[in-house]
Amino acid sequence: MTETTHGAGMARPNDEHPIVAQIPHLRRYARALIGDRSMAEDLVQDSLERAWSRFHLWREGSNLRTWLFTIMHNLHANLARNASRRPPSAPIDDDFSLPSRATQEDQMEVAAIEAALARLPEEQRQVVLLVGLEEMSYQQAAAVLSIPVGTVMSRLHRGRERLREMMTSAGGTPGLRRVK
Amino acid sequence: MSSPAAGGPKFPFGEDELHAYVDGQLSPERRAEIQRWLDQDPEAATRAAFYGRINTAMHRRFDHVLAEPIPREWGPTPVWRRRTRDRRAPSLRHVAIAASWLFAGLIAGWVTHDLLVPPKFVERLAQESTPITQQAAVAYAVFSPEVRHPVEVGADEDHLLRWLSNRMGRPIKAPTLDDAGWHLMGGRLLPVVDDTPGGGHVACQFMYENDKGERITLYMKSVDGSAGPSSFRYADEVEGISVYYWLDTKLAYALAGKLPKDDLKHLAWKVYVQFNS
Repeated sequence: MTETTHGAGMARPNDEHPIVAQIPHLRRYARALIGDRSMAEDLVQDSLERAWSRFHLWREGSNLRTWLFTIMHNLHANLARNASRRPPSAPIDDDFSLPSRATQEDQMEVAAIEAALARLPEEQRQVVLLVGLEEMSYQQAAAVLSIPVGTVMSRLHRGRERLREMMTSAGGTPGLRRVK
Repeated sequence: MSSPAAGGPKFPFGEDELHAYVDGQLSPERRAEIQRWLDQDPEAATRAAFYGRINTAMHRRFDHVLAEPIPREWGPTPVWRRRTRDRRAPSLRHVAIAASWLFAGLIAGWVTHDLLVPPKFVERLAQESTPITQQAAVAYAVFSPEVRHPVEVGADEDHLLRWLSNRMGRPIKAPTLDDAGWHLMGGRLLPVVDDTPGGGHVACQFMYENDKGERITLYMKSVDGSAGPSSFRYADEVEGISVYYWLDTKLAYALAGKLPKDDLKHLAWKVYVQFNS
């Protein structure tokens, strides 16, 4: 057994550094955006390397989270350009466990959401995730993606409508048509 | 406000506002206006509800990533150690960067000492301890305060053990701690992101409660067994959560609770005996 009470392998230094506090968010977004775990982890690691080495460029008082997400977005955009169109990969993890006593309907939604997201155009997926999962304001999402707020809104609308089509079409979950 | 005519374009606000309503990005007054309209417009109300459920589903699917342990190499290692490919003597620029780093670190360390809100509890856990104790402590911290959903499947439901055994790929039993005053409430399945061989992607957790309403959890996940059985180990996690953990050839176990060390050890021993008799 290699485990010890306080083991190696974890980031210990500077635990309280504000960048460290943002790592879980960068990671969640990358995972949802890319689908493939190791590619997402690589993207986060590369982004952090860049962020640590440029932290002196961050303007005190501006939003650190937006700054970090912008770095990651730019890096991802460069990689995507260079990789000459990777196939969108979003393998469903069969072992994923569903949370507390979710209703049948909720379970289907959770299972369907990843596949549906993977089929969205990336520019729409980014907005849907930044706003809906990372809970950024529309202005923050616009800053991260370097696009006008109006474009955020139209991508958000198209993305959500497309998800709705996919998730309520044949084979979808009937419960989604339910009126609240 | 008259009821919208059936079929026609109805929602009199911009689409943007329907999204802003869902995302909580409206003023309270505007929110109330839209709410009043939605009460009469089932089509728009259905869409708003669906947008909201997309958000919920994404959280349920991806929030577990927040609790994953952060690799050490993602931390702020100094520039001159990070750049292993660059073997040249440090340039003035490197020295300047290093100096600014040191300065930033000192300032950050000093400022964050007690002025900044510390990172969330789970995030702190994620940086501090070893996988099994950390995962067990996170699972304890997340679920033990739950009033309505502390467990996924109750102890009274007879498929509890069958289900967990199926998902864990091996027979799982729930130890009895009634004679020590702890009653099984039920169990749940948990996701594991784990690179250790044979680690699998699922773990399970049983929760027990005593008459005072205190709770403990037994966390179990598969191991490949090459390390062989281990003795008891103790980890003092943050926030007063203690964990006893051990291995046998099939599973790793971690008993977590906010209990005095000796009490927890006593219970860990009871659990251990039931799996090894």
